[in-house]
Amino acid sequence: MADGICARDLMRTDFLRVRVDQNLGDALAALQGRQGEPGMPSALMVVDEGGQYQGMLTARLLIRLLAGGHEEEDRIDDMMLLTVARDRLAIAIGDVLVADIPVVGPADRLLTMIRRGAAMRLDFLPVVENGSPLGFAPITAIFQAAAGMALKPEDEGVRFDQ
Amino acid sequence: MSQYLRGSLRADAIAGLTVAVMGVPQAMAYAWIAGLPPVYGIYTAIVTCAVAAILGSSRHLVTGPTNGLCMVLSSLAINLKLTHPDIEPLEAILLLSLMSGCIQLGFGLLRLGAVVRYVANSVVIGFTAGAGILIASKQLPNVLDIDTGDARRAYEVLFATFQNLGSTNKNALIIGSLTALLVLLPKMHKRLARLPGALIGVAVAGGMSYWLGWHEIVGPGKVDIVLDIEDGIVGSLDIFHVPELVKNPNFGLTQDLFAGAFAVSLLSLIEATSISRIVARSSRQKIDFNREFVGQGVSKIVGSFFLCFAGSGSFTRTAVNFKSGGKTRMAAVFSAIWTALTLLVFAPVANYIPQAALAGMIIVIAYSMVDLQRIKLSWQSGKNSRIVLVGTMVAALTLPLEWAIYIGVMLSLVVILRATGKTDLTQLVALPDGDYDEVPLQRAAPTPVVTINMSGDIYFAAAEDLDSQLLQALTPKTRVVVLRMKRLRAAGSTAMAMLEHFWVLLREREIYLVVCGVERDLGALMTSTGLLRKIGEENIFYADNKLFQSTRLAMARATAVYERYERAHGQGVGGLNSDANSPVLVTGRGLMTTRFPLFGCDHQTREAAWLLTETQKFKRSINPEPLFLQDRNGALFGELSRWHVLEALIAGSDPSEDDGLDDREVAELLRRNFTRRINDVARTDVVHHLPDTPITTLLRASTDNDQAVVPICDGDGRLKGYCMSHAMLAGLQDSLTQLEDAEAQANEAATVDDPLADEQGGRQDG
Repeated sequence: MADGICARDLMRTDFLRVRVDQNLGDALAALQGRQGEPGMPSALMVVDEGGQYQGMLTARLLIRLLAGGHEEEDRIDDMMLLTVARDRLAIAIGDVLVADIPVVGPADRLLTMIRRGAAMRLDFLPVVENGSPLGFAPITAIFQAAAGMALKPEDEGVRFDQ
Repeated sequence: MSQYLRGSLRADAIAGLTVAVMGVPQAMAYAWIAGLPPVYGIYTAIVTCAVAAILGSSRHLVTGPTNGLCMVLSSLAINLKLTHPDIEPLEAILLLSLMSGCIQLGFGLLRLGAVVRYVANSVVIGFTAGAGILIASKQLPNVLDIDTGDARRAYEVLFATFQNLGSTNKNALIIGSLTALLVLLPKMHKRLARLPGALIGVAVAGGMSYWLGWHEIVGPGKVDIVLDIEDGIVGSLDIFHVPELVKNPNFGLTQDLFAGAFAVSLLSLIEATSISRIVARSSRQKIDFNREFVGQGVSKIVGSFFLCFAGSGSFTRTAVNFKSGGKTRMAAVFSAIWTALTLLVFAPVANYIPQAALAGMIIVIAYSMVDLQRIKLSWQSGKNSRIVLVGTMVAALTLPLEWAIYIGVMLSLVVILRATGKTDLTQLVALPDGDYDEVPLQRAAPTPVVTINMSGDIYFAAAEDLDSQLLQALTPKTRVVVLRMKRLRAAGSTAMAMLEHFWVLLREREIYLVVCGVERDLGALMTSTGLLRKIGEENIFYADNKLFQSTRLAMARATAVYERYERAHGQGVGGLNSDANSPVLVTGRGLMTTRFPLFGCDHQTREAAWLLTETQKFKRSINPEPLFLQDRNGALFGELSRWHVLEALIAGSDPSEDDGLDDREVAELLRRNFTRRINDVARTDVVHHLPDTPITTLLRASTDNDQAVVPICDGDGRLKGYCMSHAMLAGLQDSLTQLEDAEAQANEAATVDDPLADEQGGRQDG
């Protein structure tokens, strides 16, 4: 097999970590503290005390953890939703971590990244090696790489006569 | 060292010689302007030049006597003669040089080099022109060899000259005119530009006077020469001399001289730094102004012990040094050495230079000081520049010259304060598409929510009266004011007091205040002064890198506050500032991104792939922005994320074959589905909402329908913007903060007598 673009080539290594014993409020503060830094992934790597990868949190996942989970039949009002969300800020990250977040290894190739990432359509794919988090492969970078390979000069432009 | 000997020594030696040839007659003439025997100018051109070059920063600056400084020294000496007639002018000037050197050294050591930046160029132009006119008017009687008696001021000298025109010494006039003509020679034609006009002028005129024996005439027609001035020029460098006023200090005189010494230091620094800056632009050298200050200061201190008066950077000699190929600071040192050799060798000859020749040369220099081109440029540079230019020039012509410097500097500071001491106020008017129009403060249509954009400086001078200016934006309709304070500079306690007063004025009018675009420093200041607590933390929105993000949040808050007011007003209870015990929820309008690419739904995945790639190319953000599709009626059709496109591209391929593919085969695989229509690929069940949908509903849409983004549409389903996950998270965080505040207020309200204590006012009373 020929060498091609792999996760190592696309990943961003400047990321924030939160520990499983920290709470969702800490995660919210960390994530919001990073807003406004365009080059930074808006995702957090969740690690245990030994720094080993345990999961990932993105803004979308955090919204789901704070404001989701209310069944249709017991629809709550706005104030209640906020009150519940506030109470959930105190929950330890480890207790509610979303399972089955797809991860890739640093040597995984483009097609592998696409297939795994498409399962949850998350904005970032954690890159993990031997349990250690190495970085995030952003979907923007994965897409640019894939489109860059596929598109030829004659594919450029958009036809508006369709 | 050997590198220097090989590379620069020769160039520096030649440049130094060129400077010396041109500079020696100038130095003699400038000393004469200062009212001192010409030889002191040569001493100054030797000692101060060498010391300033060794310690300074500029590779080309040549320090020594300058026309402007010498005129100031002359002015000071004249005044001194009136107040301290018993003091020898030379000794006073040496003390003055010592003092101004100490002041400059202090400036350098305290790293105040940047101070000079605040002096406008017009000060130098106006002062130089004024000094030039004064110099010319004072030298006129010397060219004509007319005795003006006790006349000291320029106008007195001119008046006396015209009164005694009949006693003009024709020989002196010939010598003076000839010298002036020869000095002007290099300026007349490009091919003559490299000739040392001053040297040729005094040499030819002096030679002619000597050959005709005019210096020996007894009675009318005698041409006075340098030898006739007390001491003449002695070819010796035995010039170490501790100033008498250092040996026997006179504190009264020192005190009297201080203002003058300060003016001399200031002028000298302005001259030296502006000249070195101009040359550095051509030589691409970075000047350390603090080091230059030290060099200038020490050169004056050392010089005052070697019979030198205060010198500064000479523009002409510096330019000659640069143009002659001087490479290092040693070129100026060489110029000092060549000047010293000239003194030792040619002193007997120099004594025969006619005084009228020096005067003729000075008049040409004075004429060049009135630089009409630069005056015109300064005049055309605007009102502020004209004020400084004319003010300084008039002061130079009418007041003691040192005062002209102070007045010029003062005027330029006033002009800076006038220009910067202003806070620009405009109104932001929200447009339906989420953008803003910026209009003059009083030009916006009356609305309940008034958004005022403040920019510029808000320090004490600018803050004065700002509150009453802000009030001009209000109309009877105004219920909430949003103050956008992004890019405000230099906020201090006066600004905070102004803001507090404005807040009080608003409260008196039952108008609510929301502040946004608050930078970190300003926020800290508002916290420390207690203003943040009074306005209410929930009404403060901090600046974000995303343009208008905090403004949008603030306007959402303002709109919600106004709606609450409307409801309360309709029920006939309370006012705008009352019953704030429920959080005001941010709406989609405040959170949405309004710039987005829209795409028709009939395109191919290839086109979508190309478009998404192109839109990402120029973005720094690595967080994905979606592509929305619209139908033929312009209504939202669906959302096409990058994952949708990638999934469509790999559809039908066998994952087990992935590992065996090389790059070319991967590319082919990805291209197989390029022609697939995107309306089959996009997600079409996205839930969208109206702009005024509260954050809670948006969050539900995100969680219930698993949407990373929630589109915001108008009533016809046309896309107006979209809320991304992180924006919704920010809205949630804001709402939670408000919930905390509302609960805290409810608790407070329960413990006080007046349950309707107003929100913002309650904080003040607390």
